[in-house]
Amino acid sequence: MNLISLFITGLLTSNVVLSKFLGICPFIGTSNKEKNALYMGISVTLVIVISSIITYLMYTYILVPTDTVYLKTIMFILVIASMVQLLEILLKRFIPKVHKTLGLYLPLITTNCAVLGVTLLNINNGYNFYEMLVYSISASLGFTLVIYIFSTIRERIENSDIPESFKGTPIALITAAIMALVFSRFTGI
Amino acid sequence: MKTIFNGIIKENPTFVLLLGLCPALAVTKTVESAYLMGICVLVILIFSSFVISLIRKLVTDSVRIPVYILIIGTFVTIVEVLLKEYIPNLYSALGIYLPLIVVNCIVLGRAMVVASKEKPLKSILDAIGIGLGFTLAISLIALIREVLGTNTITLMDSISSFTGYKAVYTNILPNTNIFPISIFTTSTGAFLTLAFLIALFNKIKGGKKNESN
Amino acid sequence: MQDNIKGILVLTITAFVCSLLLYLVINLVGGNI
Repeated sequence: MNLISLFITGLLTSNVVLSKFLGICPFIGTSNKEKNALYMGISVTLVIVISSIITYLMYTYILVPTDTVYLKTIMFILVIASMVQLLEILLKRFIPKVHKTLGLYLPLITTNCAVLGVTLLNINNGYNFYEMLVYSISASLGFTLVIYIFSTIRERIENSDIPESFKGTPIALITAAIMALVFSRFTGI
Repeated sequence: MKTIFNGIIKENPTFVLLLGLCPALAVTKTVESAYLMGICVLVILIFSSFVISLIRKLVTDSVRIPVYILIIGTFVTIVEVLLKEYIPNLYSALGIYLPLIVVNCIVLGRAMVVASKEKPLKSILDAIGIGLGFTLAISLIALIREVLGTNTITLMDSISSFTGYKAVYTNILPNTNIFPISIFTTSTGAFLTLAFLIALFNKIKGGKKNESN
Repeated sequence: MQDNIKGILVLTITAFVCSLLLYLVINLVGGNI
């Protein structure tokens, strides 16, 4: 498959959040401040890309040859959990400011459906090594893009008048709905 | 008994706790895939909550997350394997969202909050309540999405080869030019449906709070 | 230190039990996954 169209697919047309509904939980949770969203997005990108590489190699060179494919789910999530732990330690040591800003949301990257989702999709879609690289980068950038745009919109919304029962999550979801609509138009490319 | 109702209404994972939203949006195109996914989550919740509750005193804080993930992951994989072998239609219908139950905030979250602290019986009851709450919630979302989106209600189609029974209802709504509104089958519609349902739930809850004041 | 050792022990045992359980289930289903 053409690598460039794969990139566009991961980034826009099949956006992990708006089209595949992965990464919704932290999406609603961290996207109220612009800076938080950006840091979160970059952290997730790092975790997804590195985990994708490791899990892909594990799958191809360990799981398949030993006929233990059923361990896929568990192995992948353990790799991801370790990566997140590693990231947390590195951040705390080298960029403590970011570590403090992200706070509790950092360990939550482990349960981010998008991370496990992308690693599984790499396998399910039968990508080769390069396709896997392109897809994981574009998908995670897609996540970052959406969460960032979302946070900027959300900051504006907080200052306007919203009916009581719609405050918080409902209005966020409606915003997501409109964004999904916009992104779905990208299928024409 | 009260624990079960708690999970369905007061602490409904989808509308109140806002957990497990990924599958809530992803598998709600048909009522069938929704309630079947709900049952899978229910089963996995019950088994993992039970086991985690049993060993809760043995697990130290430092290894809590990996141990819980291992346990939940094992049950998810068991369900995956069984489905793939006996009901392959369902397996492919749920797609990647089946293994994703491992990181479903509901299962892991409940393990952390309830199963690691309560006795096995209470943990199982809580799991049943939450699981039922989830199943009902996403079935509701699916009902709205499917009826408004494709004018059908699919209750048993993918697994008909397993149960030998089919139940697909079409043309629910009167034949006007407005319906079906296909936007509901898209992701936009999913977000909208969930948004309005949560807002509705909030309104009802807000009303009840005012009553008791 | 005591705590950590206990923790790692529990982790290892859990991993072992889980793998065993999975292995059993797989073979029950025909060993062809």
